[in-house]
Amino acid sequence: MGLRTKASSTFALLSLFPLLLLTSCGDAGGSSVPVQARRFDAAFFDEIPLPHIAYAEPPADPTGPARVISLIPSMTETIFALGLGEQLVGRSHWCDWPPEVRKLPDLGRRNAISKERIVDLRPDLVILFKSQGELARSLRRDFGLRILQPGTIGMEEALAGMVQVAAALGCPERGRKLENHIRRHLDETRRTCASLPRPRVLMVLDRSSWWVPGRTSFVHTLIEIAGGINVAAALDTDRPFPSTTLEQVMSWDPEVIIDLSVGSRREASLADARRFWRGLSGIRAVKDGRVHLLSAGVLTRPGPRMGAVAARLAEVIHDRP
Amino acid sequence: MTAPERERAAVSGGISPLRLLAVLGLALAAAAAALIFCVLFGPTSVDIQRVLTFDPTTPDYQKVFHHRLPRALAAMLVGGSLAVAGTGFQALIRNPLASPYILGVSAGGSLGAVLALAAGASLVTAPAFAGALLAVLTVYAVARTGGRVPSTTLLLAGVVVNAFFTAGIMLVNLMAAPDDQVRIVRWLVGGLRDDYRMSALLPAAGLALAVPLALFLLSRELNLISLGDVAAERAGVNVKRTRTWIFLLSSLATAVAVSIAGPIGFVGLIVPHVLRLLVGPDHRLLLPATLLGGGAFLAVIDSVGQSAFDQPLPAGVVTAFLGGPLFLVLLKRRDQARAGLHG
Amino acid sequence: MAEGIRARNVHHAYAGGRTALAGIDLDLSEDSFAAIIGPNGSGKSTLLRVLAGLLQPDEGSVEAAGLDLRRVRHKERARRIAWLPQSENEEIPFTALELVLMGRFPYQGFLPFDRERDLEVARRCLREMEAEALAGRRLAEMSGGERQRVHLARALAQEPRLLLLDEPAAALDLHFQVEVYRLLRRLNREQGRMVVMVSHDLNLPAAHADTVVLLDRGRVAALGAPDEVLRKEILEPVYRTRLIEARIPGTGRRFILPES
Repeated sequence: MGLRTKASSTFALLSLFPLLLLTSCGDAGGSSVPVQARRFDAAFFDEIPLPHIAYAEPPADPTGPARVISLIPSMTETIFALGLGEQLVGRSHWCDWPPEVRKLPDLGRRNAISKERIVDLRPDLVILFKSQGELARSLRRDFGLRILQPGTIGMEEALAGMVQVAAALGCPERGRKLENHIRRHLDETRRTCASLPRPRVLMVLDRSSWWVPGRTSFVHTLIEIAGGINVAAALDTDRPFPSTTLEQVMSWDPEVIIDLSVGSRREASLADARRFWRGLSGIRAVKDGRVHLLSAGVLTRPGPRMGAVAARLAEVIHDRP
Repeated sequence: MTAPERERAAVSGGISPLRLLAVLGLALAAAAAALIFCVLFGPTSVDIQRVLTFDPTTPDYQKVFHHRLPRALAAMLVGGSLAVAGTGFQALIRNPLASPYILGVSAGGSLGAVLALAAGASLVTAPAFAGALLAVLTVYAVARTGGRVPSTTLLLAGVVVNAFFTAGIMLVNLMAAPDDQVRIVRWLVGGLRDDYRMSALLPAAGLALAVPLALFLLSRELNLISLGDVAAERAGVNVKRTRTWIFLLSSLATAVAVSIAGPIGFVGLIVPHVLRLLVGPDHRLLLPATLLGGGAFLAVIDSVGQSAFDQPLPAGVVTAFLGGPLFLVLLKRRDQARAGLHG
Repeated sequence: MAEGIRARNVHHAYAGGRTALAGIDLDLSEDSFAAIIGPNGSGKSTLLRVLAGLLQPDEGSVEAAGLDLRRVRHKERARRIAWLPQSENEEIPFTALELVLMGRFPYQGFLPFDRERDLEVARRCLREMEAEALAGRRLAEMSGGERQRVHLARALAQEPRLLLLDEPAAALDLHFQVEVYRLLRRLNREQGRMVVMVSHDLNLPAAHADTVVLLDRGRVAALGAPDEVLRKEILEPVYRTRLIEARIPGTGRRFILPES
């Protein structure tokens, strides 16, 4: 065999590779199934208002903390929901609700908080995540500040945290009232959904890592309250947001998919997401057109708006095209 | 091939097309075995009988042909590119630590990807590729002295560019929205994704074959350059031009790999060393072997990472864990061999 | 175009400003066996590299083996001129045959495969160097003498008309030193190749070469037959030390030694 023939046969062998790729990733079923039901645009969950509660008792007791900094978005919301928004003097970058909170000084992002600026604001109380242990220790030990690290994982812990914050601000009664309000709203939703069929729901927080709500997360509770069955609860783990694989998703074959991976530049992400799910036409949710692309934001915030969130979530879950 | 086998082979003749095909055949067999492994094993169970009925509506068929097989092929593409790039760089720089990572190409690709992710995009193959090319051109511009790219200067330029781009990545990560940060961190770990578009994969596959082929045609030059620039020059190699070509081709292969699967480390470093032990230092055998061997390696690693642990681990994490100890073992063997020679 | 060596007005200075060659004019016929001698720093190795076409001088022209070294293409040059440095990297993982085959590079085409002719030539060169038994062994596992022979075989595989060697016998023990010179003489007399070597030693090369070139601070201080150049009065001013001339009893051949 001449050299040339040998070379070209090797070349031919190697060029099978892209052909293999092409045929195996067959864009299966160029179906015209709408991946997203028309009713919910990606911003369905934005701009949900805080619960409006008429508090009978007078506001904070004068010996309670007058200047509060909150670095937890859900607790920032809680403080406003308690009617104590004026006591807030500083926030984290991601505390963005209600809109008026954006006027407050931004003290930084999760792992890059400006300690000095916190101290500069002379707060009486600093609320931060349990996971911000180092910062908390430093504020307490080096600057003698009073700190509070409420729990935020799981529904019960989140609600308890809100009560804790209320107590710390000197209004334990308001805290309990807020909690009851939220629980009532949640129960209402639960009751409404009781008579409806319970679809198997997959919520994806991030598609590149396949983050899903585990059974210990409050999101799981929200889904159950909204009348869905959280398929990811089957994962044998205590982590609130474990990651899984696409294969597992295909095995679960959910009836409803809620994809929260929409990024900050919505249009491009939506197109990518639609294209992605359309390629998985074997999944029931895709076949039935019950894939919803929404933006995360408030859905993953265990704050005072959970009641309203659950109600809207129920709308999405039970929606049929 | 053990030492006596090589001796026999060497005495009987040089590298003929037949011998190449023999090595190629073995390597293809390894690659095929890896593919079969990846098809059979995964995080969930698949009924092979059902798959073999070739009924495209069954989830088993879909899992294998719409998910496992394309993912394994993408992994082979990436692993092969990285391994070939590593082989090229190691011959060029004549330093066992040379790898696609160290020359800053990966960092460039990551910066491009991360910028796109922070801007809210979710598919970042093109920005990553652009970033990688930018890094390559920067390293080339910095390292070029008198029309040549000397080894030490290349290494230094690579380290500097790496540091610079990495700083940029950290900055972008810090400023990004939490949602985007999640994606950014996931990208930086390095690994295969589930949301590739064919329009991105096909040109990548083309490049992943064209570049190694081009390097293969330069095998003799690579052999000579691995002996030294002077040794190559006097044998008739246009060292200036050849070095530039080797650098650009290897960087291109790296750019392809990084744009698809992020910065996966150690494949480009370890695979060439291991295969050199198996097939010898001749690049005419080494290049095809690393292309297929690197591909098989990464495909298996990715599959194992997805299935063997309770949390699916991206390939970049697994290679990082394996890479360190594996490299130490390799170094020990080299030192032992060397001590045996001169001891 | 000169078939031997014709160098005109060759100047070269290194990056630091140190002048290595300060105006070399050299003519050597194509059947010469020449030895270039001179003290350290006289420019011997630099001149050799210039003659090999591996170093472009700042000024001047060089023609060698029928090529204009300023304009020749890489492979063309390697087909006619082979150059061996003083020392080579020891850590070569290739076998002797693989290495010698690499010497065939200038003759090989687009596809990187070895052809029958290449294997023939490679084996023949190994045989000439009495290194055929080493064919399958890796260079890193050989002794200095064995390695040197393999490197020589590689140079021969280029089938060069001109062989340039920088201290080819430097690291070898006496037996191999003699072997190497005998071999070079055979290449020159029987195969008609031109041999130019650089040497520190004054005597052994003189015994074999037919032309001696004496360099002094980058210039040619003397050129001629060994008997003409290897004289006290010519060498002492260059080497700046007192020398003794003596004759070997029997052959009557001249040799030079430093005095003290």
